Amino acid sequence: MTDLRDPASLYDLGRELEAAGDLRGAAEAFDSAYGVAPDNPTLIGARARVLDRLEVREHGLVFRYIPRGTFLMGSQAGDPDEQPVHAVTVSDFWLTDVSTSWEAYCRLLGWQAPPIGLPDGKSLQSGAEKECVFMFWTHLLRQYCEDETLRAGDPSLHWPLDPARELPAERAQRLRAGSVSRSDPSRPWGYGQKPLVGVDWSQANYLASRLTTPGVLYRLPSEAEWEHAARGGLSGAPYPWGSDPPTAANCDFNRFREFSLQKSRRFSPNGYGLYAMAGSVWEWTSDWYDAEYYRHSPRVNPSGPDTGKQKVIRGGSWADSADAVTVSFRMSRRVRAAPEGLFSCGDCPNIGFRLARVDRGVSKSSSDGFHAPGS
Amino acid sequence: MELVRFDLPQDTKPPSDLMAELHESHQVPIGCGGAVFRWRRRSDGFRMTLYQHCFCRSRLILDGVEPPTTLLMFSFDRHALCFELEASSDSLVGFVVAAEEADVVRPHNWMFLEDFVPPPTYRVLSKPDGKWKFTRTRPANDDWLRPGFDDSQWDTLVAAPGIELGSVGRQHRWLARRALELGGCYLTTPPDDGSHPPTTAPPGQHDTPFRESPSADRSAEVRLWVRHEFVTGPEAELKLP
Repeated sequence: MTDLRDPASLYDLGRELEAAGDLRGAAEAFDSAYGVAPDNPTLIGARARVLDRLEVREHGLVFRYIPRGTFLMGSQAGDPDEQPVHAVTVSDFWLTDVSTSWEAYCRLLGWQAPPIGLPDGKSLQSGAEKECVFMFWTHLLRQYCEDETLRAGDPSLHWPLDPARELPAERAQRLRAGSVSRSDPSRPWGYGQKPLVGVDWSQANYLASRLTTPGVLYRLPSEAEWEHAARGGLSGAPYPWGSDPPTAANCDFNRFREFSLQKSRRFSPNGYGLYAMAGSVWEWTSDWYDAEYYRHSPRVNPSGPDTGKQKVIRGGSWADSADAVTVSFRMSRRVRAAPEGLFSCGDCPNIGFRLARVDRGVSKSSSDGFHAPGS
Repeated sequence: MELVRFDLPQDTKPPSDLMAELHESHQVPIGCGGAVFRWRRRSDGFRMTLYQHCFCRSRLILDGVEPPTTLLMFSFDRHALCFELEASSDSLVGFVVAAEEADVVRPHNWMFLEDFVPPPTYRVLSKPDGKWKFTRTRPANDDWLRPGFDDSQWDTLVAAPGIELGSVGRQHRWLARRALELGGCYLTTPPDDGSHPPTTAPPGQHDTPFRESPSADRSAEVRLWVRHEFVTGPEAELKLP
């Protein structure tokens, strides 16, 4: 019989399951062991190897495997809505290793590439009201989502026209207003390395629904899934990397005065291979927000209240203090009614999202996780 | 995009040691209709919205740093608000400053007024109170930009008479109006410091009306370094009753 609290026994079980080709079972066993002995190098290596083998690359995105597991959700030291701390079990799923970029969002929806970023091949000049909606949105994105941009400024400056074709009036305007400061001005303007921001919940959900097939479900993670993933397999730690407070060397946070995003993969990933689960941008989840939810939520795959006005966002952002970038801090944002024929665009340069992925019909349910032989 | 005021979580998030701040598009670089929402600790200090208008070219520096926005973050400490002013003549040296504690959103309390405790209100105002100092000699280094600098040998700015809002360009008039409404006063160089260039009205007699003029950008015959030091905190003199 395997002692499920003994990391050595769990490690042996993981090796058995891996040898038998049950990678998911092995990942769960190794992950459980890691929660007890996170400093064991042999275990760390075995766990990372299996998680890497379970990684899925689809649609140009990297989906990291999050094993089924039980973790303590919430924080006794956190805000009242993070309490009580309670055990939650979530099924396995995949989560993109970074927040969705503007380049990926446009590419996956078949829109024009940034910095135009418009659907249906329409141009900015047509003046239609619906395009004005997007125009304001893209002004925001150009300031914050460009790979090398060091600081948001006048939106007109963030439009990388070909100098040879730039009109005199536009050139004059640039001369008056200045120029954009970029970390490497020689690089082409790019939009694939920073998170997409200014995303409303409906926009995030729209991409997930467009990608979903009969075999694979894409969606926003539930709040419990998000927190499980953010913890990276560590038990009880307030940050994805452990208990040490965030610093400028491991987290994009507390830079409100700088008005910029850092590249998503700039800092080390957590134990599941996920980047920037603390700081950078708030991330949408699928759950409605309820401050009292933890007092009565289901202990297996909780999916939030049935109704509400605000959806939960998690993770904190580049503008927030260290207290708000913990794995347990809860925040919410109103879900807007979509204008006719469109979804609603967001307006915050510190809210983005990442996609969860579930194999339809083959995800391990809460009851069919690994079982120790003879248990 | 719905161009509506950003909603706050104060009706859902229970009270805590953290406070939520909203920074809208007229305050920070975001774009039309945007907003930045952030959480920070109350003990970090407080923020003030700055309103200022200068008839001449100016550069504002707070504690040695040019603020990126008109929302200034203040710790509970001593501070130095400084200007570098350039004008074609002393008759264009006139500025008004008013900084007022910005709205503080306290989760939960905002919606439940019985729990609401008004935040302390601080203001920084340009006034002829002897605490706004200037020199016409370029400081030797940047020490003057920081609190604690000895400016006892510097001269003192005085109230600038006869300034009307109509003389302020339309683009900046609302800033000047707001600064005056909050209690700010236009300050200028004193009439008897003897340094006024001969191209202007008789020294100190600003009978040439202040008026925004392109000439302020063309030449800078007058250069001033201005500083004002103040303290914020529960016992600060700036705390209003």
